[in-house]
Amino acid sequence: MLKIKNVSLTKRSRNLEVNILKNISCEIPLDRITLFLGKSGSGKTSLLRCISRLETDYTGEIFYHDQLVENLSPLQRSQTIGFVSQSYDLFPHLNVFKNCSQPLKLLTSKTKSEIKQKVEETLNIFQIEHLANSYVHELSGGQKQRVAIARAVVLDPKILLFDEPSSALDPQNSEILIQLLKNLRKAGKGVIISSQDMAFAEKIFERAIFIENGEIIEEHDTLADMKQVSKSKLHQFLYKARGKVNIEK
Amino acid sequence: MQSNSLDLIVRSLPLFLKGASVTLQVFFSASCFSILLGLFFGMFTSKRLSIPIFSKVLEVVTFITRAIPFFVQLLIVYFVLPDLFKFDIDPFSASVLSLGICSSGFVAQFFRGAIDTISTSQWEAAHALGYTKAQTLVYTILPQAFRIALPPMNNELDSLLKSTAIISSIGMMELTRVAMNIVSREMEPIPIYLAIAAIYVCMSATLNITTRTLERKFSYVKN
Repeated sequence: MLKIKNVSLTKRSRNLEVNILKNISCEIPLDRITLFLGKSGSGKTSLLRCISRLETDYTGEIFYHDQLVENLSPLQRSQTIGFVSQSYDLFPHLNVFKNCSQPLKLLTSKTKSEIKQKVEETLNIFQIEHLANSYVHELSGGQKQRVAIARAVVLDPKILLFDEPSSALDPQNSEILIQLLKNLRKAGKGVIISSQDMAFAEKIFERAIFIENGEIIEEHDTLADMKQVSKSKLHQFLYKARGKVNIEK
Repeated sequence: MQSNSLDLIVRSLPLFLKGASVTLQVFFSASCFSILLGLFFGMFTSKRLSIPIFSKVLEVVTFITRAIPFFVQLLIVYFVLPDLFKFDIDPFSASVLSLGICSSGFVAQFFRGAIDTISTSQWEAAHALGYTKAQTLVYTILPQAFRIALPPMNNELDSLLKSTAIISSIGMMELTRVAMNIVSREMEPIPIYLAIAAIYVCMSATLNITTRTLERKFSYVKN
């Protein structure tokens, strides 16, 4: 269970103060995929960044099984929470194999052969073993994403956070991603996703939290509930956006 | 006349080699010193690693090293500082120190610019993986920054190599000084100066080939 308690985040730019997250509290069971849904700028990515400690100046508390996330050492944190950003942020000076093996080399006491075995296993799971010697600039968007997920998974974190994972994918890669995320959940990983793509959200839905202007406005545990019960402006906006995309297609 | 000149050059070769060897020793020592000092200055004046007052002080120091001509820095290190602080310094150490310090101001600028060029998301990706700041710097940022800083560093090292000719002014028996001595003895400036010019061209070309090879080695984007 991931427990978020009264988390607020304020950013200052010049003389302006912007409240990005406003006193957010929620409990996220890790046996189900949880979606943070909202428009861009709503605060869903910032919430993921707070959970992964990329934002450190928030107020409030985030607990993983009653353990305060901010008290985790870098190693404990990387083995508890993995983060896959929207732009993947692979290391361009390393090939795919080294992108995945370097964290193991630097953070664990595994031997060279253990690291090799672990990375090869992980690359196999994500069907990118043939890309082991490729550099980032040689990969497609979908391949980059799978490498980024593999790099996060290789450290065996309990929770994986995904920021807008479907935003740059074609329908085929989107389907592959959905399957991968479901498999990760089946393998016992907590999966938390931020998205504004309702078509993607419906396909992967297990639990959804709607965020608007830095506040949680709705939580849904069933797809039917999400599709029918809500009449909020945000909900309508996201569905409308989806409709627009479908019409354009 | 031509055969005399050639004969003089051949006779002077052992002296040229000795002078070139001193030039190279000073060059390599000063380059290492300059790169290490420049890297230190560059890291701590970059946006991401700046330490409030310390970085400002470093910025002023690097500005001063760039603002004072190398020859003046050499005179200060060899004559002024020993006189002020009552210590002895040999010409070799003074040359390496002043060349290194002078060049480090420029090297620092290249490293600072290169480190600042690396996207914030690279720092964050390493942080999300659990890297410490030092690990992020050594394994993620510097390898990428080094690749960016290499081409301008090539120019700086080339300029440093040529600046070694100035250390003849404090009595270092490097290539230019050796040539000057031969000329004053033989009264034949044309073949001697042309010969050492050719030696400088060879050294510069070797340096260029080496740095280009390094650039290719560090380049992960194959064109």
